[in-house]
Amino acid sequence: MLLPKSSAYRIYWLGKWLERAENIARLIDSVYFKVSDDTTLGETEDWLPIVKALGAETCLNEVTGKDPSNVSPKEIVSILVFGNTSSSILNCLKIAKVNAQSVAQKSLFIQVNKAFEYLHNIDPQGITSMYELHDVMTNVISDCMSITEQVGREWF
Amino acid sequence: MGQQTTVIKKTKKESQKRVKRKEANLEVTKERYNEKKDLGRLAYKTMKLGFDNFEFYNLQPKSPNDIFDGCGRVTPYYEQLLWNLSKITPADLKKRIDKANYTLWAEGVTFLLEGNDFRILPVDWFPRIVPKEHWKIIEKGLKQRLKAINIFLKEAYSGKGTFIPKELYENSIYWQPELVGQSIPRDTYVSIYGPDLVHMGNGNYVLLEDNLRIPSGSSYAMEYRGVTKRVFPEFFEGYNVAEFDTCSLIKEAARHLSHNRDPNPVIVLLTPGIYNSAYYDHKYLAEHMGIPLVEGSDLYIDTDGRVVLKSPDGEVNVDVIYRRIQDLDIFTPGLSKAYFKGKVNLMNALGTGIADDKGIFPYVEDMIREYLSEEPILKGAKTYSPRRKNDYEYIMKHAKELVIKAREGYGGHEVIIGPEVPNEVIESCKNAIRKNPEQFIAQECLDFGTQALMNVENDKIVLKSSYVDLRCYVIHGKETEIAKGGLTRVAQLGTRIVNSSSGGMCSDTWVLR
Repeated sequence: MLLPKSSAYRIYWLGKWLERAENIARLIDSVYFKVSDDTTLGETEDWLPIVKALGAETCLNEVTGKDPSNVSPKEIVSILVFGNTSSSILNCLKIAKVNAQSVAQKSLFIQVNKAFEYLHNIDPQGITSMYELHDVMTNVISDCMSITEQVGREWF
Repeated sequence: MGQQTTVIKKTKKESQKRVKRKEANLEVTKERYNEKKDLGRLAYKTMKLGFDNFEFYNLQPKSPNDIFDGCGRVTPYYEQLLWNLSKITPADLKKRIDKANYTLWAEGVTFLLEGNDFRILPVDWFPRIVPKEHWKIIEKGLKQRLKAINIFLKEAYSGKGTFIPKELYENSIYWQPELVGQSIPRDTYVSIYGPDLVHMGNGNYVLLEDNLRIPSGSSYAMEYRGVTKRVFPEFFEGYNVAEFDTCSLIKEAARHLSHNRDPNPVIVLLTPGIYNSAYYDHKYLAEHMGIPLVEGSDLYIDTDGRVVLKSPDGEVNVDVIYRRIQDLDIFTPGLSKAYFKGKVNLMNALGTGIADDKGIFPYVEDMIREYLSEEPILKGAKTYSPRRKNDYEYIMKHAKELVIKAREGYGGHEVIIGPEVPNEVIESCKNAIRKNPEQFIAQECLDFGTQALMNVENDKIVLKSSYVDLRCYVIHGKETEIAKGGLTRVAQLGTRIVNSSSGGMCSDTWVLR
């Protein structure tokens, strides 16, 4: 079936936001391999390079009112994964969902919505260890990859 | 052999149960009680009907109810459904209602709200049943009505005038002077017609509105059927329900409209975009019809005046546009010009809105008499036009008992239901009519049919009666076909307005075979 230009445009942006969500998840997950004790969320210093790489210092400062070096790992995780900011994974998936919503194929929307709902239903306060966070990030990465694969299969 | 015996035993058991239920029904008829008063309203306690886990509250005792007759007996076609429902425990039903609502949410059967948030259209999961004999009348009546409307539109745009006062339709905002004298492919102005009907009891259906521009909502009906089948499969036991499918009918009608001799013309669905409240409807239909869902920016008019669809794979000429947009030229300049030149076909044609105008509604029955020399099979609600002196006086005197509608209002907006609003609203409405009588019509306020809003309250399955209408989908291609089913819209408790944009709910509609 012919793919109209506007749908192609939305699929492009869907891919961009999924790519961003996946990249943030991979960056966050890299801390898992860095910290020695995976029963905690590590120290703030473990997280600062990630915050810097994502350009999220201002955002952390705006949300918490503190200098990034004084923000706790729990707050950093909460903002980067679940926060209502452009640097959060949940926000990336939310925008991906809006783009998927505007493409006619329902199966694609169901996949994206599932990924969004998975993260949306997790209580940020419940994540207290790198081990738990690693589990969540692995799922996010795998969801993003399978959606990208589906888009590729269907249109390219 | 053993299996056969079991089947016979089961059948016997079922028939014994049926006899018991019928006896229970008769008992109720004899007693005709209203032992439970709920805020002064009559309540039928269905326990006595043999269903001990739910209750039915008739909150509109004056109106006919589809499920129970005036004596509190279950109508034959709902008996099996109530029986099927009684097998589900209230706790299980509650879980399933949540699951069904979640399914809609997960599959994106939603509206987009501000801030990229979505919400589902509220659904009453108790299906509405339309028996075969009722459906036959509806089918005949709607086909007759559409035929007359298409003839009226042809005559109105021929420029020679009709038996209806010219100024009435030429003053409509939907009048398209450019179409006067133009020939329309196959003389089909209206390809998709979505009338709203209400049941007055005993198979007597009355029309409230003709929707002739861009009737919407059939995808929701198809989705609800799918979800009901998945989440409440027991409901269907003992029923032979007709499939409801508008997609194949619309696609066939679009093929029929094409100028192109190619058996596979390029058909597109033109949507205003993601921010339109009916966007899900557009998306669903495009996907299931197998046609591209396009926005205005996907199309342009080439130097030969043809409509071209832009795609990353190249460009292609469009033969038929299934438009779900009112103003064609806002996003694709020159599109209506291409249509007037015959370079592309539209379904529905431009200008059909004049027959959709509420000012024309009172004349549709006369159209049937005038053009088809037949008596209308389906009647419209009695409508008064303030343009006529007698009607004007009647409206001014009886406004409190009438439903007053702005001629160009839609979606339940600009509708005043006299008995449901305070006197100040009636007075301001009368003033508006005095100033501009042409812009209003009034209809008798019908105590039309009610169905049931199903819920679980205090560990009981509770059915509360609520007003319902039925939107049907009539598709005119080579033949005129009616999709067997439709969208039942259920009003919130305490009001007659069923439109979803005014807080109404929807439910699955079963036409029995």
